[in-house]
Amino acid sequence: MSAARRRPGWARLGILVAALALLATACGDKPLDTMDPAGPEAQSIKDLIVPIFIIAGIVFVLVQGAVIALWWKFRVDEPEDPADERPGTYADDEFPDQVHGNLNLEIAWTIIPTVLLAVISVFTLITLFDLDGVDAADDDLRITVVGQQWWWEFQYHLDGNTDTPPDFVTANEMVIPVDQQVPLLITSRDVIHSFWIPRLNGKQDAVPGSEFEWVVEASEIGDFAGQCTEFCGLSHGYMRMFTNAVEPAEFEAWAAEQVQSAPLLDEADEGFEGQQVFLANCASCHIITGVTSHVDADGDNLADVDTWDVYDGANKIVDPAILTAGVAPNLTHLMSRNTYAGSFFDLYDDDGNVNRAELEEWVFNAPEQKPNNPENRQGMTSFVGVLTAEQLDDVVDYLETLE
Amino acid sequence: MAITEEPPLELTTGSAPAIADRPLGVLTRPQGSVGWRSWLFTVDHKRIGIMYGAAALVFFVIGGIEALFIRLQLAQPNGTVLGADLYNQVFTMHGVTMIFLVAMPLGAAFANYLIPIQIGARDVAFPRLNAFSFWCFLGGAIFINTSWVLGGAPDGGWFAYAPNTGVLFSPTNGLDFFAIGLQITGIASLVSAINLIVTVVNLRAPGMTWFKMPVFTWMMLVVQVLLLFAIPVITVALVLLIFDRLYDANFFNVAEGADPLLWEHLFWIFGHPEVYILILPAFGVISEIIPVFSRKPIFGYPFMVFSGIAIGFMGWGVWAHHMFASGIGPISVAAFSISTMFIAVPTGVKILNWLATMYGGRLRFTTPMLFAVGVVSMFTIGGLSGVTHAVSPADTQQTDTYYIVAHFHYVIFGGVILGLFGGMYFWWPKVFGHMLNEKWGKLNFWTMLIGFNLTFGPMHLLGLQGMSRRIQTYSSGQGFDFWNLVSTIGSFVIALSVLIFVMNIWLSKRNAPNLPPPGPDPWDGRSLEWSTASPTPEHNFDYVPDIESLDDFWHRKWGEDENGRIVRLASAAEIAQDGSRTGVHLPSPSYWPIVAATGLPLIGYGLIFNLWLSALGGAVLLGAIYGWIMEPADDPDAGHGHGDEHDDEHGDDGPDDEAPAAETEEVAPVG
Amino acid sequence: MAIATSSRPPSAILPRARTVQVGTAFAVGATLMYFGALIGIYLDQRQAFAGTAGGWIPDEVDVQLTAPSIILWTFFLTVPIAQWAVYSIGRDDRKHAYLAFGLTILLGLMTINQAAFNFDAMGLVADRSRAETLIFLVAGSHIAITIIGLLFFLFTGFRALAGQFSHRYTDAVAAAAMYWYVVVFLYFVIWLLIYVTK
Ligand code: HEA
Ligand code: HEA
Ligand code: HEC
Ligand code: CUA
Ligand SMILES: [Cu+2]
Repeated sequence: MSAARRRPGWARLGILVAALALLATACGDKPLDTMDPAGPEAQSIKDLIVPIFIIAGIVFVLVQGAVIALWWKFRVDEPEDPADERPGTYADDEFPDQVHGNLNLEIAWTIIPTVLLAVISVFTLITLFDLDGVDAADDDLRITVVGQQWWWEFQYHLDGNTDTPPDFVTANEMVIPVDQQVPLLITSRDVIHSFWIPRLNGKQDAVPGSEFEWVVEASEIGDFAGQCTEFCGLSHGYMRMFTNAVEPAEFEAWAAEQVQSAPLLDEADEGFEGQQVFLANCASCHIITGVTSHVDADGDNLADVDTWDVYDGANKIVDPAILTAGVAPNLTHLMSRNTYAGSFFDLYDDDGNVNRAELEEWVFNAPEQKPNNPENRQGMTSFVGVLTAEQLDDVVDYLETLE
Repeated sequence: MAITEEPPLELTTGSAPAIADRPLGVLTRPQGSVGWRSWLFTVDHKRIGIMYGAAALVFFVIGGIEALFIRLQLAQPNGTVLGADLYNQVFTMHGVTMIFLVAMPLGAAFANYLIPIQIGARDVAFPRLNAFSFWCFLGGAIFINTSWVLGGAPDGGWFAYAPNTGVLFSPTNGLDFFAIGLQITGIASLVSAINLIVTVVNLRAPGMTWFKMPVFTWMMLVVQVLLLFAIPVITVALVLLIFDRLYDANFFNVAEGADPLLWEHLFWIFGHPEVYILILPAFGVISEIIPVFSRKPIFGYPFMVFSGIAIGFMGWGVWAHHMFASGIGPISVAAFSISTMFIAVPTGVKILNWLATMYGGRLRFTTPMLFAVGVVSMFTIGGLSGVTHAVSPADTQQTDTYYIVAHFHYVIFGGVILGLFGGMYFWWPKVFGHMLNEKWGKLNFWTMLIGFNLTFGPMHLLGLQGMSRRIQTYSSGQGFDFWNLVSTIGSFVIALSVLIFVMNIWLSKRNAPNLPPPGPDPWDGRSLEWSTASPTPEHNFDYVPDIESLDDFWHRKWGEDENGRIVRLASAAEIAQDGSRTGVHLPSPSYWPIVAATGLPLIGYGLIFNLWLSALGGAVLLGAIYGWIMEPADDPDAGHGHGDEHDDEHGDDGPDDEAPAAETEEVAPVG
Repeated sequence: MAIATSSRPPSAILPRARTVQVGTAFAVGATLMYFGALIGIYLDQRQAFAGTAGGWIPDEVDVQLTAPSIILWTFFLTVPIAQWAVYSIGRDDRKHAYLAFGLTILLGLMTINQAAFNFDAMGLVADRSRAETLIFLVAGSHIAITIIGLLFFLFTGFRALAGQFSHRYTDAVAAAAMYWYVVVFLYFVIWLLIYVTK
């Protein structure tokens, strides 16, 4: 197996890999592609990294080229008869020049990379400070992003004031107007998560006890996928999210709808049974504005489990005793979303019909659908043996009314 | 050298120091140098080195099988090989095993075996302490792995970010095993670091000044100093974690106002020096291999040494590059971003110096050389991706994606694993007295190289396409399917190459009697280890060598004639020591190190399950320390011992004729 | 490069290595790093606390300076005594060496006793507040290294009894003393940072 015989194999392999690479990049879409920016922040990151990839590529080619050239030029083959000599032994007169070093050369290759890196670091700093900070006006839309095991909550402050209660709260899908910088305040309610919509911006960790500023801006309309990227326990892999950029007018319309409360049904109304099942079983965790903030099945007043109270002031961090209680996704406008439960399931099929069976399964036995740990107050409980088939049917019917 | 030396001790004149022959409480000491007992109770640095290596290889297969499970799970979208819970345990244990139980002990194996021989010593400074380090490491390693059957392995990732590692979020005992187990292996590393530093500082052969030490020894010295300062930091972090988990302290409880970034800082202040702890041994190894198979001295020895030291220093100032997305503020980000980039400079010097060593040489691509050149080329890829992480705005896109996974497997697998595999092929004849088969070796290398690139190369693409790490599965719409499959296939090619290696070990051993023995110096080596018999005799050197220059042994074989041409002065066989001398006074084996080391896991189990067990462990530990103290370093009854001639004309040559008291060190702090 | 010969005259007798002292010096380095990190955390947390309401150390805890100061003085007292041990061994004066060993160990045990008393008097509850846990940890770690230092002394003492040290070989005794001084020094730091500047 001499080196000489190997090389063509290598080359062939290289070509094969390159061809496959092209093939793979050509087909299939990549919703999380970091190299396909759809907003100015992601764009400036790409503009920074591409030249650096090129520099790295040059160093790569130089070093690998040198290895191959040295191999080519200075290789001595194995002795003809391997039994004669052991591998790696030389004849007594087989000596190259005994060079011990060359100070000038070594100084040169200390300085050249230093200079190169100095240049890179200047551009790094420029971009870094460029991206830092917020351009939006004080009264522009702001969103508080809260990570929680294993879904995301978005609290909308249409007036930009994050110190007052949000206008409305939604989960997993963040709708923003296109071409507008949206400042975010990122935090977490339990462990560290990381908020990341690769096509719009890099990621920012959601650290409990701290709020970090971040921005997103989309320069095209579309749904941009994201993924929680800090390991956050059991279902970390299923903790996804979307940012949907829409026309400003559409955003206005959407927001106007989101601020609406859901109607509180009474006995005469259709869907009342479902609502009651919901109040009895689900309202201890989920909020439906206008419904759950009245009374729960035991007649306790739920007014103070209002969206805002739970995260107010010192309570921004959830008391371990209510790790999930009261802080499950707000369901007021559930059906206006496309996905649910950490954006892991699609709410609608391709024809626009509700994926009813899947939703029922979720409500009935969530831990079976997505790994979680309700005994440890992480995630949604199972209702196996709690809800009858009829109740389940009713409550999902009711969910379907939450437009 | 003032503090490091005592005035000469004239053993032959005056009254001999009063050494009581039988101090109180000495049990009969273990005897003999064959059989399993001789391994359990050995204090011989070579045997300890071999055991480190063997243990590390076993754990490499375990960690590798864990990796194969990861890859099987990710081979296709919506994989169902492992559930989420199991997946989290598997990747955590993969990382922990590979870093702490493979890469570190494999480095320690080389350090233990080679440092004393390369500096011309008979053993390390504190041989029993050395045995203690090994058993401590093994005890800790087994301790962590028993978590699999005692209620679940740790599941917080290898850097175990708080507060996800609190009892609240990770209620199984897994993370207790993690915290306590790493504490135990940490003691092992710390003790052995002190031991090896003292060995290098004090036990160098006459004439071996600092700048005549081989590069390998230098790099290992830097590693030990890094360990010395890094381990205490992780110790503190783990103590806090243990307090939180076992005693409800609130260091990382956010509800109580804790700052989760505290853990991140502590972990990475340790964690970044740690990665250089992993790589520098490999750098040392290939700095020995490349000159030999280029038939040239290492290019720019001082630069090689100083850049290693510089890497060690700079490694302390860059830790927050793991936290660019964690919200430490733009000023810190800027500072750490820049300091990180400049680590590329000393590393680059090394890469280029290796290339310059090869330049103009007579390159023989034996298996060790293939691995060494593989490091030069593969590590560079990982280093370059490292520099792209250092560009902090870009890192916010890269961090926690497979692009990072690609980076660190290129530096670790392409640097550490390839390098140390090369080292094994290189020193195998020295250690076991027979060569590894070259043909299989080359096959081993090429399959490993191909498999490795197939596995980790695609991860660059996956990462840039947005695949997060530590996710149990992905969906088919995300565009990750193809490269994940390639990567999985690649990982099995690596497994194949590891199997080839294992087979090579076995076949070579079987064939060894049919082949001529390699002799003391099979590769025309340069450093001192080649000047003694293969396998290295128990006493290392018949006579402690005198050193006149860097690569002293080589300069005894070769000189220059009046035309400046290199001519042979002597063959290795003529000048190498044959190891035939008997009656060299060596430290005797001892029961106590292994007994003391078993106390620690017992204490650990006790902390988790029942404090009585801890009490038992503590008693074992204290008893062992007592026995240890009361036993002199040498056994007066051992076969060779008193009455043997001392090497007076060669002066001090290691622990053999030290006063026995040289071993009270065992009560030194363990951090 | 000159022609090297393969046979050379043996070199002169080398001085003996002070392995234990060198090893101890590095162990000291690791110990300092450990305490550096721990005390760093302590100060950092105290700093972070400064803004919030209430005292860093809860009111229930009664931090007294008396006991720590006595401990500190006891520690200071051990310094010349430990040095006396080294000195006596160096002059082959065993009787005084034993006396010094014994006294150091006795005083060391007293500091531990006092520390335990002090914990008790302060009413420290390990898991009540961060400050208490940290004090517990720092002071506890110090007791641990005190015990290590004492064991070191005890064992060198044993070995001295066995006659292993003489004016030619004081290495381990000097090392034990060196370690002990660091224990004392660290107590001074703790005294200053925890008990004096609350
Ligand atoms: C052996 C271990 C090892 C080594 C040697 C390195 C070396 C380097 N690493 Fe790596 N790193 C890891 C192991 C290692 N790393 C691990 C395990 C992680 C992940 C931990 C985790 O999250 O689980 C990590 C993560 C990691 C991150 C964090 C990424 C993130 O999570 O977001 C960063 C960021 O800066 C980084 C940077 C670097 C740099 C700049 C080097 C430099 O030292 C590299 C220098 C080398 C070269 C650059 C090549 C040779 C140079 C030349 C040929 C000269 C010319 C070059 C130029 C001018 C560019 N590493
Ligand atoms: C020394 C360090 C080291 C080494 C050598 C490796 C080796 C490998 N690693 Fe690992 N890896 C890490 C350190 C290392 N890794 C770390 C620190 C992490 C981060 C963990 C974390 O996030 O917390 C990580 C994470 C990590 C991930 C990401 C997991 C995730 O984020 O979800 C993956 C995924 O593919 C992976 C794969 C592999 C593979 C395929 C190998 C292969 O190279 C392994 C090759 C070895 C073998 C294959 C063994 C040989 C087996 C036999 C001889 C038996 C044959 C048996 C059969 C064929 C059944 N590693
Ligand atoms: C113990 C608290 C708890 C209870 C009780 C509970 N849920 Fe949930 N629910 C959650 C949590 C937590 C999630 C988020 C789970 C995830 O994404 O991993 C969730 C998610 C959901 C979602 C998806 C929402 C979205 O936008 O992602 C729906 C729909 C839902 N629950 C319906 C119900 C119904 C109907 C009931 C009662 C029959 C119910 N839940 C009872 C905690 C609860
Ligand atoms: Cu949330 Cu990962
Ligand atoms: Cu790092």
